[in-house]
Amino acid sequence: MRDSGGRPPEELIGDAPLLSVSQLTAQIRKQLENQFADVWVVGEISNLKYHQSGHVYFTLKDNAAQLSAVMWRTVAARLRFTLEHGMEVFAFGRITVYEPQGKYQLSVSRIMPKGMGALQLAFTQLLEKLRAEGLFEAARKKPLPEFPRRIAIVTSPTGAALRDMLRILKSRGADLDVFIYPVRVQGDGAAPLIAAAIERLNKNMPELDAMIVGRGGGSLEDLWPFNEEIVARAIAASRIPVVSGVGHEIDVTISDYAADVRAATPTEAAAIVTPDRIELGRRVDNLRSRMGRQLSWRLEAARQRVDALAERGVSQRPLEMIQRHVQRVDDLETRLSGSIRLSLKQNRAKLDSLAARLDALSPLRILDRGYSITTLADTGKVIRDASEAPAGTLIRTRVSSGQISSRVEPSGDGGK
Amino acid sequence: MAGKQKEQEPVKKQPEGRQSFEDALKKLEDVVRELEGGDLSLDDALARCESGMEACKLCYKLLEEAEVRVKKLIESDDGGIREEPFAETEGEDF
Repeated sequence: MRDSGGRPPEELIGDAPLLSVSQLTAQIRKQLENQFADVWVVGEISNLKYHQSGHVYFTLKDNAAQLSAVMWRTVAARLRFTLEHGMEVFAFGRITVYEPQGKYQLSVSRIMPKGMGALQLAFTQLLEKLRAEGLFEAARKKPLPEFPRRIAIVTSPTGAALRDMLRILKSRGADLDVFIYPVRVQGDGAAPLIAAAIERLNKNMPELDAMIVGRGGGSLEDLWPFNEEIVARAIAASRIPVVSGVGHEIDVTISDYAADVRAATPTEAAAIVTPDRIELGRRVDNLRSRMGRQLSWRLEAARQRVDALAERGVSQRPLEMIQRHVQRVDDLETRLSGSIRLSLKQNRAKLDSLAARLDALSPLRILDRGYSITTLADTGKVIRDASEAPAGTLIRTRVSSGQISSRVEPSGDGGK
Repeated sequence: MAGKQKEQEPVKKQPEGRQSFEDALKKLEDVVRELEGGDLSLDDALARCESGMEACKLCYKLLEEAEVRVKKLIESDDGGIREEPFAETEGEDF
């Protein structure tokens, strides 16, 4: 370029002002930045780059044009969802001009996905990410103990949810130590506090049987800490089983997916953790009546045997023994409550048929088949070994009908 | 909450070696299972019934006596946790 003393050549002089590149660029910058200080732009994201510095660079484009865009670190850190290539977005910001390169770009201060809410998108993205990691797999879920003795509740100390949970826990009637871990459950910074509480409980109170993590209903924004990655990971990593109870029935959070058991509400969480007094009472009742039926069955069988033996004139001693049993059975029976006796009555027909079957197997039926029982006449003891009846012993032999008295002859194996 | 007096609930310690409902129920279940198995002699069956009755009574007693003890946890600076009594009215302090 020819030096013309800072002036343009003659032929170019007109009304146009002469500016240096810097001067022009400064004017462009001033113009653009004034005119586009607040602008919404709709477009599709491409050339997306998450820089190490935390700043995010991308291009917004439509079918005819493109626009460079930058989202500074402070803005990017507050973004709940992750930008993706090809995503349609509404971006809000201002145009800035970078003078050294003569380029302009949109400096984005807010960005929203097109077609769904930002929170909804963030939810979907995190859900997919953690699911892909296997964080929600059934094999990871820990069972709740059937009879917990010590549980913790991680929630706001001032919410109605806590009051409801305590009310339920008390009405359930389990014998329980409840430890309330007060945390903030909404707003920025709540999520790390909730996660820290879960971790601290695992570290300091590993003997806890279960913990409830939750809060009462609120807006999606209010419930958001329970959709944050840090909370989901703390829940999944907990060695103490976690029951989540967040919001109302319709609210589903990432925490719900990560928890060992998802309850629809905090109230339901309290009910899930503890067994119900009435239910337990029913279980005991059921066992008691089953025991009663067994007892009754035995009773009937014993009575039948007593009757049969008495009828056939059995020696007094075994009879006494059985009568003693019967007495004991009677005694136990009277100690059972009226409800059981009622159920016994209802089962009478069944018992009768069972007793009849038992009777078919009794020793008395065996006698019918031609076998006999021999006892020592003086003691009534059943003889099982020939040596028990040496020569001269008086013995009685019971056959199917009646009995035979005899004295042992000095022969055979008797003297062995 | 202003002007409302906070009442502190006494914190009851659970006695050591306290019989648990779980154990009593399990004992009762064992008895019933053995009885229904049908392998017991009459004498054994009656003895099992008697211990079953005991377990049964204990179950009802423990259900009757069950209570919920509430405490509050406070983070201590050393990374630990300490227990404090929890005032029942705190939950209503909305």
